[in-house]
Amino acid sequence: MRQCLVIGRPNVGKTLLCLRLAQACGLKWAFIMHELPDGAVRERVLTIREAMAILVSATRYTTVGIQTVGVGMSASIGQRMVLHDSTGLCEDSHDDELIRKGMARTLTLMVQSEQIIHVVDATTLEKGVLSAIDNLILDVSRARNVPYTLVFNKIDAPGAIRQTELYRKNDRRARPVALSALHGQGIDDMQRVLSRTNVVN
Amino acid sequence: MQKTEPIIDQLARGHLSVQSSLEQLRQVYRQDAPRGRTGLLRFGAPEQIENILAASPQSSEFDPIAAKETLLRPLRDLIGLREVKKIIDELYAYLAVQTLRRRMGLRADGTVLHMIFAGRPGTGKTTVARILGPIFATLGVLAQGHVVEVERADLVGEYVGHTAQKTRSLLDRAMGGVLFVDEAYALARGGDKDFGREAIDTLVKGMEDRSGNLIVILAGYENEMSYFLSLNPGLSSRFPIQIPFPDFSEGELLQIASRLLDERQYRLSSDALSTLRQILRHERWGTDFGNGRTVRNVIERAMRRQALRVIGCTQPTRQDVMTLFAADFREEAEHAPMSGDRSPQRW
Repeated sequence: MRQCLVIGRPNVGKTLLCLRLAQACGLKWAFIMHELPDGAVRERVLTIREAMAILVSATRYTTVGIQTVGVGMSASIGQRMVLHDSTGLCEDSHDDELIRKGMARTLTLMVQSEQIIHVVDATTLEKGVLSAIDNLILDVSRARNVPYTLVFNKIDAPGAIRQTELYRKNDRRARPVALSALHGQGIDDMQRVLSRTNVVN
Repeated sequence: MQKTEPIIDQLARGHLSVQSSLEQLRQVYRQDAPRGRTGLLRFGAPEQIENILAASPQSSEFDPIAAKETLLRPLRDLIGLREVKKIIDELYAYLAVQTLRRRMGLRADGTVLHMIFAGRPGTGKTTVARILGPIFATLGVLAQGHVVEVERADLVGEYVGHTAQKTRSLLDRAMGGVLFVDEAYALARGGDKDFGREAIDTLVKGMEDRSGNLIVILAGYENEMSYFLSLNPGLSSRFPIQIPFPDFSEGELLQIASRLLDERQYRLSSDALSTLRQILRHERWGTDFGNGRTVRNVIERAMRRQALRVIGCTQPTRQDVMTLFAADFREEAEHAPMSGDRSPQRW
């Protein structure tokens, strides 16, 4: 089982992307392990639809701690993988202990996981330049030399496509996959990219 | 990896911000990677560095001469500090030429770039240090160019052996960047038995071991620093670049004030300007004048007084909430000075 971390700033759509990927792989039910920062673990089995209703919202920090979504991609990707959906990394809630622990957990996974999916909200790019935190995430992941996928989410929002194009022109470090987790647009591209990086040797 | 654990632990405890912990993680992975320029510009003051990034081409050869203006702009934007700017200009030119020489296959020996910033509080020592980090990184002198700011309490430990350990871990953290020791003379304060001496020795040793990828900047008052340097004979030769930070002149103080007010979208009425000038002139003669910091405190206190005044009147206009009157400052002058806008007690 490949351990794959989904990382990004708060409210960029990490959880929804995880669930969409699970859905795209033909899963009806999601097995969700919710690992809280204090060490407690909660397990839930939900249908994808339920999970989306419960776990996804437009406020920051819906996910505190790590949610694990098992994605059996055996049919489409040739390998099963586990998506670790993590607490968003962000500077300004640094004094909240729970979130801080969650972020620390995220970083631990970042050094341990075998694959990294980095989600960026395309609408927050400015002149096609990544924010400081996103840049660092990109650099650390690349320095670790594990399969890395940059995802530009919320491509349906106004201006997002333009920013993505600008980014593609400016930055040659990673080729972003543009998608909209909300509408399920571009998820198949993502699946294809994953299956390419995820070949069993 | 065991190296990453302490970093994450520090984040969990709130000692490190997310950004700096990510920086350090990267440092762990990059330690043996070659030094280069790409992606290193993210440190220091982010808003200034965004501009630089936008201006400099990402992939093509980095031209230090063409990039000079953009790189040094944050420094040039500082008010006063003419001497500091001159020295840093020299330094930049030298390093840029070394970069070119290296590119042309000539010998370019590394120089010792450890520095001493001597000046009174509030003269911009820390600000300049923060600007220098990214500049050095861009010129390829440092791998990361982050600035680690420490003071005596961070270096000196509580029991025998603790000091060396603490100092060494700080040196490791500053690796690839700048270690800025504020009020460095305090290390020599306690006499022979004090752990401060041990910190100095460890620092000197660490600098030698890590030469080439670490710049140490010691900052403090001019007189105290020269005494500090005289204590350890090896010390002053190890810090070849000594930059004096003179006190700001009255005009410069006023410029600082007007920049501060502009940034916060406040305005001075004409009588307020002359009152402010008077106050600053008066403050400047005080023995423990805090330069830029005093200016900021004077203005901030006036802003609070103005807020009090505005809240009292019915239906304040845009004009009202923006303007500071002389009265807002004058109360200030009668007010006994608070310890906050003074420099810490001299040694």
